[in-house]
Amino acid sequence: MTDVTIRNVTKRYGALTVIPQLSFKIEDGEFVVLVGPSGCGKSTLLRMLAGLEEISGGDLLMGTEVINERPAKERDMAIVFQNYALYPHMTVAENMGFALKLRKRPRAEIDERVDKAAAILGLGKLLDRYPRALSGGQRQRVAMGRAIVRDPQVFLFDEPLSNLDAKLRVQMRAEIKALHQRLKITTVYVTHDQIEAMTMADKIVVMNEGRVEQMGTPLELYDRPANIFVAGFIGSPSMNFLPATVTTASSPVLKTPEGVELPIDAPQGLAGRAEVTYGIRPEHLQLGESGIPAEVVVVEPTGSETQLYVTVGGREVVAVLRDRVDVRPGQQIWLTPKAGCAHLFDPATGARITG
Amino acid sequence: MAISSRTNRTTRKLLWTLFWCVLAFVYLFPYTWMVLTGFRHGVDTISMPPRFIFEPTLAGFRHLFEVTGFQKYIINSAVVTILSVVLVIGVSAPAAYALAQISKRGGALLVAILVARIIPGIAIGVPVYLLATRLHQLDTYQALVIINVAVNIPFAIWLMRSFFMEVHPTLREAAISDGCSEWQVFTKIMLPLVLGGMLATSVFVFIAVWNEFLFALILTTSVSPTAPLAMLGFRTQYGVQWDAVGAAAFLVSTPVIVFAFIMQRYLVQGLTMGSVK
Repeated sequence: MTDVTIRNVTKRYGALTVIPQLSFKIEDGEFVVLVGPSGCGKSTLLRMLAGLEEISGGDLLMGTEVINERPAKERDMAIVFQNYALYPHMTVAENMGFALKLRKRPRAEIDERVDKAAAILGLGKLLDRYPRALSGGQRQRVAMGRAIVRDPQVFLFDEPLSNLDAKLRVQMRAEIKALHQRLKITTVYVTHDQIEAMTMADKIVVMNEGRVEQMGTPLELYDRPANIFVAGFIGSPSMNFLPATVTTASSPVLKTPEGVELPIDAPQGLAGRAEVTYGIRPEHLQLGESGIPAEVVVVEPTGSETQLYVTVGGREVVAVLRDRVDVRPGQQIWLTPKAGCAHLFDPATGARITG
Repeated sequence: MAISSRTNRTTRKLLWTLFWCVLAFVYLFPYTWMVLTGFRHGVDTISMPPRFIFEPTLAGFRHLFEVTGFQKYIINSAVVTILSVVLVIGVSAPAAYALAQISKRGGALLVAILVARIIPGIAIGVPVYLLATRLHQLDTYQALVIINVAVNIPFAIWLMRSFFMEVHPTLREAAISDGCSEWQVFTKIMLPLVLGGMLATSVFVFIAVWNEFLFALILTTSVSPTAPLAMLGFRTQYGVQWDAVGAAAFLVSTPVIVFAFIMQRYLVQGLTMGSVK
């Protein structure tokens, strides 16, 4: 086990810069999730860590040692691919023991380590099967088994759950997390799914266009997003954003261009600003007697909650209510934001205003 | 209504059957006629109208082995073909792997390689002959093997590259991450996966080299002529020895058919690789 430091790393393909400059540290034993939209550079970063892509600048460190020039096979990092990349001509046991066989470990040791990993992952009865005779979830487990057997310093996961169906994805999510809690191996996990990121990570790194937008624990990112991008990316359904102008009389008042007043409870940071972007998460809106006037467009009851699609001054807003409500499309309602849950952003830079 | 549609179906079936029969006849008749020629007296072959019922004879085969020494030609063909196939596959497989999985500019290089295939053999006939003469390699196995290898490598690389491209690139990356060198990725991961394609390629190369005529004619005289050349000798000033020609053609074609038959499974598997997920 070790910590991993990414220091001023850049990646260019000819004239195209994929990662302008990136720096952060992954602590020993930490489960870090790199999350971001397609093309944000998260998989490229993972492949650079694994040694499958060269870095164009900066340094990668394991502990205190720079590993820029160290070939992939000597990095002691095990990678689990999205498509599992199991060797089709080898059985499950051969797949799992392949890395040890290459290192010329004794037969008995290979068998012992394969059996141990198989027991952890519940693969005991499948050891003699070929990958083609396995289901998606089983293949995924074998891919993890192949990584575990190596007992590496770092686990790298490249969207390992994307090829599974929704139910299996939830199950495997929990299994991977449980596995990490058991083995405590430093893990870097790439996904575009923010739910996966929220549920699994010790620390999330939100990436966009090759840059880190914000880094922190899942709840830090949820409660205090650093900018509009993070605010919109973390949370499902996404945060609602409304443009607002600031008018100052005795205290600042926020109004949408259509004249709808938006309640705020802590007006600090608004001095000298004419416009802001007002953000409120769907789950932080409640039905009330006052607040934001809205017209119901669609009602989606899911049983545990009700999603309301409404318009506020002609703009679409989503509210998620835990209670069952009796509202109909076309009805005028009031939405009350929960106290202390509104977020204000600078419309020009997208940065968070409120402290 | 029902009866008419059933009649239509039967008619259509009948027409298709007839079509396939005609097609089979067109393909099989020349070969059958050639084989029959080997078992007939020369007189029976040229008689008009053609004789389908005749007294079989092995005179053509006897002539081949007792007078012409045909076994020498067959041995030459076998030596040249086996060596060429082994060398072509041995050189092309790593090249095809590199072009498919490692090189980022494989496509451009591949076009350059394929140009070698476009040049007609006859155009390089004279230079090849002069080269072989200067190097004192005329009428040797190695001269024939080298030219056959050179001629067939572009095709083999091109065909095998497509098989290597079917293998998902993450397999190579997984293997490298597991600790494989590039050569180990090739031997331990890639080769087992493209074995079918490799055997299919070797069938094509085998057929091409076994049937090769032009360079055998240019480069050999008495020591290393191959079986197709032997056929030339049956056209004498007294006429064509049809029985010997038929027998020789039968013997020359048999190894190709047997080899292709044995490899049939791999041929199909190789040529349809990746088409069914």
